[in-house]
Amino acid sequence: MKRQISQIEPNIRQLCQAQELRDWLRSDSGKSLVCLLLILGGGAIYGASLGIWRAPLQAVFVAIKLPLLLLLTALGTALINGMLAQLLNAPMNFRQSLLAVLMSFALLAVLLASFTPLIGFLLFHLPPMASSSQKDAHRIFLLANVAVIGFSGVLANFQLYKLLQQICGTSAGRILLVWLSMNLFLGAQLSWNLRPFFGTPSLPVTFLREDPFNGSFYETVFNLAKRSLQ
Amino acid sequence: MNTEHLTDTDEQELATDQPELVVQEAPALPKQAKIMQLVDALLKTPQTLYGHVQRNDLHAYLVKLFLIFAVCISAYGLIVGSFSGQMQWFAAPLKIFLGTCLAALLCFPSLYILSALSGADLRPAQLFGLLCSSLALLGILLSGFAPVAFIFTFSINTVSFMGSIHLLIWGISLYFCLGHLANGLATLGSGNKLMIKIWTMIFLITLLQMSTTLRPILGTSDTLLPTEKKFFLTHWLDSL
Repeated sequence: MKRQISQIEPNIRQLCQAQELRDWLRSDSGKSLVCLLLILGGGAIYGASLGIWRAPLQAVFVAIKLPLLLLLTALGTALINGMLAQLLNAPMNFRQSLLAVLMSFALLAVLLASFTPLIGFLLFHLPPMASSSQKDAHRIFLLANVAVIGFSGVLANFQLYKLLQQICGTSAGRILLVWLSMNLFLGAQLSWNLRPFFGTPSLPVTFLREDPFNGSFYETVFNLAKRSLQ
Repeated sequence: MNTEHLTDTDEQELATDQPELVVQEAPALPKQAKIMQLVDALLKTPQTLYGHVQRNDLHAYLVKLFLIFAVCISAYGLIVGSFSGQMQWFAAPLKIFLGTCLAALLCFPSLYILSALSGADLRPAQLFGLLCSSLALLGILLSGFAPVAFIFTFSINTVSFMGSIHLLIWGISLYFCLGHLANGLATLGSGNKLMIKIWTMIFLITLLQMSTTLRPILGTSDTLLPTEKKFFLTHWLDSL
């Protein structure tokens, strides 16, 4: 564990280079632990910056929930992702497919953490939570974070695609697509269960909303669409 | 179903040729390089500095590079401050120096990750050295523009027009400063220019916002720092 922590910086550089990641897949040698540490660390740093505008307590909650969301998504889809990869002729076993997904999540967490100083700079310019223009501030903060998460997500998946291309050749695109679909499918629901992340200004600060397992992301979207058509 | 897993043999078959890192041979700087030797290297033979970054020994010149940046940008700041005079004589150089440093520090973590994603295998210390040398070049160029800005300062009366002249000067200087950084990264293994272009945009937006955060830099105000928070585009529209 101590060795992994001291090696965290070179590991981040390797994580950014698909060429090096093939070695990670071939001989795990503690790389799962490195990914885990990066997801926990990076996710917590960025999570804290997400919640801090609402309240310091919200920052603590989101610092716990964001890494949890990433880990639960990766673990929840590990089995089906491994099966689908093998069905699509990827020369990878379950452990390797899980590690590949963990790597892309670790890269996502690192990317998000690297943008945290800039999010802090944005926060400095936003009207505080107690001001009359809190709704505008909340909107701007949401939009900026959607852009950061979207950008980081695209880069992390592109890196995963490059890795898959080296291992699976032409079927890399299909494997990435099914993995992405599975991760989004479960990730959307988990983020629904673990909300709030940003913290709506009019609602109190809580770790989870009341009755977090009542309803689903998809049900809500369906009901919203139905209501807007009526 | 393919049941074979990734093995050493697969590795050899799938291995692609990794381009070998080659920094063109350039004479190394002496250990006790003088300030002017560093200025010369920045302007004429940046390959020399890239070589030092690659060997991870640029830190020997880091203090001098930072000194070049600090002195040059402060000299330029004095010219900016001379437009309004009074408190701005010392406030403008200080704000420009601190603002640029802060913007660079805020963007450094994203530069590190994006440069690694672009293929450059640099340690944070190496990248910090390269960034410092780029900032030193920015300072040198800005100080080169100082006489030009000084002449405009005595001819122009409106803040918005003088602001546009300074923006133009910064634009040209940043073009070369960021070009130095991008070339350095390309020389040191970065293959994907898109990542560096994205970071350049992030850095420019941060710098522009910093100029609004620390306003007034050019005009005058009752307070040293603004009491109202604004985004730079809103501030520009209000100033026109």
